[in-house]
Parts: sequence; C-alpha cells; structure tokens
Amino acid sequence: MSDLFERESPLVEIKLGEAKGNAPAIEEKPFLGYLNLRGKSGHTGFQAATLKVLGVEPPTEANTVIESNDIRIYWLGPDEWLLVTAAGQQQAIKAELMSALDGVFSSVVDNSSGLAMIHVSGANAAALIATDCPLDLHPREFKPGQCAQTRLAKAGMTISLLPDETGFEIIIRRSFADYLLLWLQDAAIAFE
Amino acid sequence: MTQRLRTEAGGRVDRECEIQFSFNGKNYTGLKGDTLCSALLANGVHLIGRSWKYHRPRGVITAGAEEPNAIFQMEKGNRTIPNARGTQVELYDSLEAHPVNAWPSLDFDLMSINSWFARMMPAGFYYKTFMWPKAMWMKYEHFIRKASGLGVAPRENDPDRYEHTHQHCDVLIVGGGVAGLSAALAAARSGARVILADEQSEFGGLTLASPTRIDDIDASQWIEQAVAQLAAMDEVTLLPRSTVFGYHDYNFLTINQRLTDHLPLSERNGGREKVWQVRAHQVVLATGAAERPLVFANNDRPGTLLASAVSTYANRYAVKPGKRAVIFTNNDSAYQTALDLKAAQVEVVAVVDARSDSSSELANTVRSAGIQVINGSVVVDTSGGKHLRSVQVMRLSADGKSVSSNPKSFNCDLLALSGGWSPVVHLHAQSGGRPVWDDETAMFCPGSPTQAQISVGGANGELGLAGCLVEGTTAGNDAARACGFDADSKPASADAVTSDAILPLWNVPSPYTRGRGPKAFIDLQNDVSVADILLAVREGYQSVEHVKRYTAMGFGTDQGKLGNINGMAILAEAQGQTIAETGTTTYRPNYTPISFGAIAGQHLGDQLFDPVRKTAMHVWHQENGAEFENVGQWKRPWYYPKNGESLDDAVNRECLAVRDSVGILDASTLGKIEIKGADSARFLEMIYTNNWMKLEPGKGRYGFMLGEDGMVMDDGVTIRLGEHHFFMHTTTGGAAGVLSWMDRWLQTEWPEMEVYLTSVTDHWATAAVVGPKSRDVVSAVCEGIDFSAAGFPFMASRNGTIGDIECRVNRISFSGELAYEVNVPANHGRYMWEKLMQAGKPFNITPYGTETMHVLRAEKGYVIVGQDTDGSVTVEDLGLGWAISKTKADFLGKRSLRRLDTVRKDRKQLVGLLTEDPHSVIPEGAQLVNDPRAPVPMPMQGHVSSSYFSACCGHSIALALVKGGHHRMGETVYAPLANGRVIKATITEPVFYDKEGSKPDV
Repeated sequence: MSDLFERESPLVEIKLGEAKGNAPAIEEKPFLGYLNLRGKSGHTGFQAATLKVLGVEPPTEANTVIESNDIRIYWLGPDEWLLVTAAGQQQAIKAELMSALDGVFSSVVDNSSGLAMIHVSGANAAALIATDCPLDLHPREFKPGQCAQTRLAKAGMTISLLPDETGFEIIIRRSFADYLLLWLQDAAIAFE
Repeated sequence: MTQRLRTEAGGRVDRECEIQFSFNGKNYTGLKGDTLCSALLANGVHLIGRSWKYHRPRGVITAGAEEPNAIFQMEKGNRTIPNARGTQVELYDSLEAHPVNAWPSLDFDLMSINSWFARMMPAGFYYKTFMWPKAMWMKYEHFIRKASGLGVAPRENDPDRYEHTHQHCDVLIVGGGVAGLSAALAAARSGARVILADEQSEFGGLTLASPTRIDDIDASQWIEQAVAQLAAMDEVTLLPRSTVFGYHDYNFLTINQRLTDHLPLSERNGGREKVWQVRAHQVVLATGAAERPLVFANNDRPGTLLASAVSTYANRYAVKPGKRAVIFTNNDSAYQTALDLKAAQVEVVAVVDARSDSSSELANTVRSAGIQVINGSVVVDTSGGKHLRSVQVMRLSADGKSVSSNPKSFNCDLLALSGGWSPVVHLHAQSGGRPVWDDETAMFCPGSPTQAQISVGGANGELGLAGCLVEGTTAGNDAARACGFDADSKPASADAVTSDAILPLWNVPSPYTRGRGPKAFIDLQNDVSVADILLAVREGYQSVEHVKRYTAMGFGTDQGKLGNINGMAILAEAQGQTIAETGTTTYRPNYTPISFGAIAGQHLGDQLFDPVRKTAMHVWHQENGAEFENVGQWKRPWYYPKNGESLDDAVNRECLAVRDSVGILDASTLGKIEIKGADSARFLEMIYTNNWMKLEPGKGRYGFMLGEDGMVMDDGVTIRLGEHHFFMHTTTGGAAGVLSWMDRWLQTEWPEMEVYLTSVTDHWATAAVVGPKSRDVVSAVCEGIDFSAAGFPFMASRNGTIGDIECRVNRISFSGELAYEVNVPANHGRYMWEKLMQAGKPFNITPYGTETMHVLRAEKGYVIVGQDTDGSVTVEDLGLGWAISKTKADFLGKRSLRRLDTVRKDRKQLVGLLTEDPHSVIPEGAQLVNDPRAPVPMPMQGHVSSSYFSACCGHSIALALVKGGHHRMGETVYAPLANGRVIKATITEPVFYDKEGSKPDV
C-alpha cells in the first residue's frame, strides 16, 4: 500500500524484454487518449465542427487512417472513427468537439482506458502477426495510410502500419491486452 | 553388407551417409535419402504388417501417400506417432518403428486364424453377428476393437510445439513435379506472389524416379535448376515436406508443413509442424497421378508392388525390391519398369500384358532388351507365405471376360502391377469440382472448376512428360495474368512419347467360381475383397456411398487412395452400370491425416486456449488470495478464502460482513454502453419493457430486455446522464450480444432514429461498495458529491473526483443493502480500489466475489438472467410484471406476451423454496415433483435454479421455477436426487431477507 500508483497500464502483469534472435520487438504505448467519434460525414455541421477542432474532416474512405493536429483518425465505419491523441489530451479535445458539435447528431465518447496500443516492429513483424491474423499484410496489399479491424489470435484489433513502416501498430481492448501479449510472446518463440 | 538389396550405383541416396534404425526390435542400416520403406526393402524386409481383419501378411505396395499397408507406430512414449506411412517417413538416425496390428508378434500373428475363417467373415460380418443379443454388443465391441484397429494413440502430453501462419498469394501451386515447377516458374517470372507446396522432401515428383531428359539435360538437373531459380525470387515461397490437406471455399487452402520429423529426435528443436492457412487468388493443382494395382486372387502378398513404386525404389532409392520380377500390366507405363529393373540388375522373368498386342516403341525396346513379353495373358493367382514365391498366368479370352488354358507358373519374389493411372483429383473434388470419367484413358479426370483453379499434368490425366511441361507453363502464365501480371513463359521441352491404349481390366477374370476362390483384394487396409462388393450388391446396396459404409472400402488412414477406383469400377460392373453412373464417393479433407497438435497450434493451455479477460484490479485480487471463476471469458474473483477457509466458510463470512458492515466487489465486467442522440429515450422505450421518457437526468432505472419471442434476454440498470445521453449496464455475459442486438435494430429497422451506441465496458473500472457502512467508505474517498440520503437518493448517479481522477458514483444495489458503485477510468481502477480499501479499514471492509454476490441477491430474490432464466422465461414468470409498461404502444417482444402459451396459467414461475431441514441445500438443477413415490416417469413440477446456504437467514434458500408456482405458496414439493435422497421443501415468496426492503433507504 505504500506504493500507490495513480494509474496502471493494462499490461501491468507483462514483462516486455528485448527481442530475442530474429523475433520482432514488442512494445506497449501506454496511456494514450482514445476518443470514439460518431456522426454523419456528409452533414455540414459535422464537417465544419470536425474541421475546426481536428483541422481535417474524418476520412470517408474505408479502412484508412490520417493524422492531423497530432491526432490519428482511424476510419472504423461510415459514421464512426477512432481518434488517438497524445496522453492527457483527450479531455480537452473531447470538450472542444462536443462544444463544436452542439446540436449536431453526433457522439464523442472517451474510451482512453478501454484500449491499449502495441507496436510490433522488426524484420519478422508481419510474419509474427500473420501467425494468427487472416489479413494480408504484404506491402503490396497493406500500405501506409490503411487500417483494418480484424483479429489477432482470438482478440479483435485495429491494425495499421507504423508511420516509418518498420512494423505495425495494434490497438486492442484493454481486457484482452494481457492475453494478447502472452500470445504474441509465445508466438515469437518461433522466431527466436 | 547389410543392405544386400542395394543397386550398384545411382539413386538419390547418399551412400557415404549411413543411418542406423530399428524396426520390430531389430537394428538395420539405411542411407541418407531413404524412406523407412526403401531402407527396409534394401535390407530385404518385405513383411511389415498384418492386415486389419484377416491378419494376412502384408508388405509395402506403393512409394507414396496412397500406401495402405506400410503403416507404422513410430517411436515411443510422448513422441509416438500412430499409423505413420513408411513410404513417406524420411529415415533419420536412431529411428524406431514398430508394426501395427500384429499380436503377439509380426512373424507369428495369432489373429491370422481369422484368415482361415475368412469365408465366414463377409462384409457386414460384425453387424450381422454381434448385434444379437443386443445387450452383449458392448462386450463384443471391446473384443473387436482389441483384435482389429491399427496404431495406438499417445497417452502422454505431446511435448512438441506446433505453429500456424496465414498467408496470401497470387498463385498457389500444389505439387512440385515438373508440371508444378513449370507453373511456378511461369507465374513467378511475372512477379506474382507464388507459393509452391509439395509433400515430399525434394521437388520433382515422379520424374525424380525416371531416367529422362528435359531441355536436353538430365531431368533431375533441370529440376535442380528450376528449384534454384524459384528459390532466388523474393515473392516465391517454396514449401517442401508440405501437404495441402484441405481445399475450402473462396480458394482457402490448408497446408501442413513438417518441420522436424525428418531429424533425429535429439536434433529436433522448435516447432514440429506448421499449418499454413492460405488464401490464393489462383490455384494450380499439379498433384500428379497415382498408379492403380490390379485385382486378382491373392494379390496382396508381400513382394507385390505397384510398377511405378518399383521404378521409384530402383531409380530414386537405389533399391532392388526383389531378385526375380514379373510385371503384370494392362498399359504401356509398366514397360519402363521392366527397363528400370533390368538396369538395376534385377532379373525380369516376364511382362504379362492383358492386351493381345503391344507394339509401342517402349514395348519393343523391352523386347529388344531380351525380356519376355506375354501378351493377352493375366496373372490369376499367386503363392507364397510371408513373401511372394510364384505367380500363375493364364490366357485371357478374346472378349476379355474369361481365362483359358492351364496356368503357367513363374517363380518370382517381385510382382509389379500396373492397372492404369488415376489423376489425384482429391483437392479438385474438395474445391467443389466433380471428377468426370473418361472411357478412353480409363480415368476420373477433373471436371469443370468451381473456383479459380486449374488442374495440370498427371492431375489432369496428362501422363507424358512433354505434356506436363506445357500444361504447367500455360497454367502458370494464365494464373499470373488473371492476377494482373504480364506472363509469357515458354515451356521446357521433352521428347514426346506415344503409347498404346490401356485395356481397362478391373476384376481380372479368374479360373475360380465367382465368389469362391481365394480373396482378390480391392482395399488392402480394410481387407475388402471383390466378394464383399458382390455381396453388398446381392444384398441390395446400390449407392456407392452405402457400399462404402457397408464394406468399409475407402475408410482407414489411406482413405482408399489405392483401391477406391478399382472398387467403384467393380461395383459398376456388378450393377451392370457404367463407371460414370456409379460415380465416386465423396473426397473430403483431410487429404492425409493431420496431427491434433497441428490443428491446435499454440492455442493451448490455461492462458492461450481462450482469451482470459482481466479487470484493472486483477492483480490485487491475485495478491489477496482470490479464487477465480470464469464468467464468459472474464476471470472474476469467486471468493477470497482466508487461512485455508472452505468456499462455504469464506462465503458465509463475506455475506455477514456485507450485511453487518461493508463489502467490496469488482463489478467492472458488467457490459457498459453509451447511448447518445436525440432519440435515445425513444429507442430505450423500444428496447426495454418499461418507461424511459420521463426518467430525469442523474437517475437510473432497472429494465428488462426481451427477445422477439417475449422471453427475458438481458437486464440491467440504465442511467440518464443528460437529455440525449444514457449509460446502459448489461449482464457480463450479455454485453456483446446486447450491443449487436441494439445496433441491428438501429441499422436495419429504425435507421431514422438519431441514436449512437458506443461500448465502454473496458474503459470503466467499477467497485461496488455494499453494506450499511458503504456511505462512510465512499464519502471518504469520492470528493465533490453530497452523499446525504436526501442529496444522493437510491438509483441516482453523481459525478465527482478521487484526487485528480474523475469518477462516477451510482447508488445501485444488487444485494438489498445500501450500496454505491464507484466508476473510474480503468487505468485508475486499482488506485480507486486501494483507496476504498484504505477508507474501509475502520469498518473491516471485506472483499467478496461472485459467490457471495449470488447469495446476497438470492436472499433478496433478485434473478440472474441466464441462471434463473433460460430463454423460455418471461418477466411475468419471474413475478416482476410491474416492470412491463401497460401504457407503451410497443416494445420488442410485446406482441409475443399475448401468445396463448405465454399467458398460460401453469407456466413455470419463479418461487422461493425453504427446505424442511434448514441445513439441506438442494443441488441447483434438481427436478421437483409433488410425490416422490409416484411411478416413473414422475410428473415434473419444475427445477431449482439457484440454491445456497444463507448465513444471514441461518438456513438454506433456493429459487425455483415451478409450474403454476405463483399460486402454490405453502405447498410442499420434493427434490429426488440421483443418490436416492429426497429433499422436502415448501414453496414461498422468493424473498428471504429484509422483506420490507427498508435497508437501502437509510
């Protein structure tokens, strides 16, 4: 009780060490802000409000991700986006969005503690994920600026390429994070 | 010289590299490059097993996946593999193989007595004989299973690791013979992503075993160059030792790659097998063709092999499969075997050809080599025991239907058979294609593809080398073009060979009376003979699928790869049908057996078999000794035993602590959904049975959701956070289903409603602080909230802070106590929990788990959806009709509530039960009856859905669903248990504690 941490990441139980052999590196990016945004992309009020706060309208092309004002905006559906912000920024952005969207049919929900982000990088990053992800991760098919909601092992995830293309960014639900990391570490044995 | 049957030179074995191995307890030496079977043949071992039913001596007959006889129990203990095909087992140092199905020993098999009584064991013998008396079947079955059956499954845990991968490609080529290699080269040169899989250790297929030339170089050299070219290309994946075992819809194919089985046990590191799940734009099937044996009396003696297998053993493995050979054929291909044997210095006594004339270039070459060719004749019988000694040959009549003249006997220890070739159409058929019979070539060839797929080479009925090269190249070009690549490869060249037509010969005419002579085997693994097929037809079986199941033809580890086509043709003959009319049985995955480990991959054990979902306070629960319970995929604290307490003791303590002071429960797993939009209240009116329009912000309400059938589907408290903003709680197990259900209605039926749903289950960590002292605890931790009874009434919701952290407190109770649910973002969950524990210390705050939660709510008669309901229970059945609005025009499930069955008075209704003996706890699920002495079957009155010992009440309590129960208060029912005990109980109202409900209103 002497050491009371105000916050803990979903991966509090996992030890993430150096990658062994040819296994890719696995890192957690904890405590980022996650906002779920819903709205009608064609609605002028929605367009104006999002443009004002985000500096850009959310992408309308399916399975794409764009970055603006240091916010990554993932297309999740025709009327749904995930905004990923720097740690601690989510409340202010949420407040700005809600204020700008006042009177417009929309929804901004903070899910910052509900999601976790993992980076898998290195030569075998795609191979490691392909261990149990049915998506085609070949560079001809899965390119920067694309994202996809699919599965990894038995957990749902949103995946995109890291901006420097050295690997992949995976966003998963908090309650599955521990399972998924154990699973990834086990799968990585094949590359050690 | 131990390997006395090695050829002088040649072969693809490494004569410098000897390998020691053992079979049946004896040590042998083989060479690197051998299979288990080639090494055994090199050592003159022909008897390798006993047949399944008659225990007849059997030897290897093929050199590939179709092998029915040469199956082995490999290794011992946790690494043992049952029924490994010795024709495909690569020899490694210290390999240990045992025969299967021989007792007490291979050489002296007691069960071979079955073979003397063979005539008395026809098809369906077991069904006919052992079904009477019926009660004895279980005993008979035990005996039959011991007497028959093959290898033994391992009893220990598999120590190996198995891997999976998902891959995508433009072109997947199955089979790395010259057709497959040509296709791969053509596709890969265009830049397409190519996967080439072959089940053997090296690419080249049957051509590895034939002395032929491609592009004016040795074929083996051409193969080597082709493989090297492919290996050098970035977008090509070469998979040797990889069996494509399933072809599913949408060009989804599964491949099993064997990574370490070829290595000595001591050198095996890493994964043993890897299953590739491949999605291909185009598939080229170059799986080759398999030779058929011929069917005649005693055609199963060790020393009887397919002609192509003989060539393979001689050319590829440098083995003489015998010393004196007779070749029996009905087509040209076996003539090459005669030449191959001669080159290997094996005496070829004769080529017996059923055709009256054979005059192709190849046949004449054989004659010029001084080998006797006997045309218009057939082998009708053989003699020998554990090894072939001689064959009997007779002349075939002009119409091919009978034999005449005295049999001529030839001494030989090797009989090479060729009954023609069958394209390996298994994957084509699995993909949805239907094999088509071709009379001219006597083959089932691939029919029209139903997926983006093409068969080439032997798999397409093309048996010539030159044709295989052309077909492969064309298919590779076409497949790559279909994927948008420019492909224009030219095929390699080989000499075209012309051959004489085959004379189809299914059931070789016999001098014996039909059905009376020695057995002529069709399916060697299942001991199915011609007589069995004829019997099945006489007994009225017509469909090939029924004949298969009656005779067992085509079952077993080989799935009839060797014998099925012969069997179907013989069935057709017996029925007076064409082979096309009879057709084939269904080709199903898996092409060859796959180990369970390969299917499971790494999805094993407590951590990885199924996701383990954890709350933010999980580590605290672990550190504080919680036992966990699975609730869906969640791990929830079940109870917290102290000092070795039993479950009952811990739960009694936890219950009393909550009722007397304060307890704390991790309630984070409840489903949480944010509902936003102008129509949110109208939406909830449809989703729930009660009213929501007038609920004021900051207040919550309990509601039931019904399915369209009017039955209870989920329940929970939903809080109105704003005019157009609600926060819904669902059950833990129902969360995902409820979200889908609601979104389905919004998207498909009510798209005009302005409502957005967002799951926030994982975002919030929730601690339920419960008991008379709960207000003292939460008010010490949560700031900015007026916790007075008037300021924060029951079913209200307030926002506050814990330090810098936002929190929401809901005054909800699932225990009948004063209670608050404190919610914070889950990253702060443990912090909140520890703060509450600190603040609760003066009150001896007691963490409790799901078991205590269940008891507390049962004491109050609160139901758990999924425990006290089972999808057939209405709100009215639960006695909670007040929760159904009588004024609303509609809500989901409303119409079903007026169904005759739904308004029946004698439906099972929720009641309480008090046992006569206050310490007897009725098992949950127990059936209830009015009279325990009533004759069986007793009329059932209902069942117990929840049952506990209540420490607070001092007696056992139960909830039950009883027919007409709401009107049976005070009546007696009985629970007769499986052990003969009967528990007597009285029906009561389902509330046992604080019936006035005054406790939470303080």
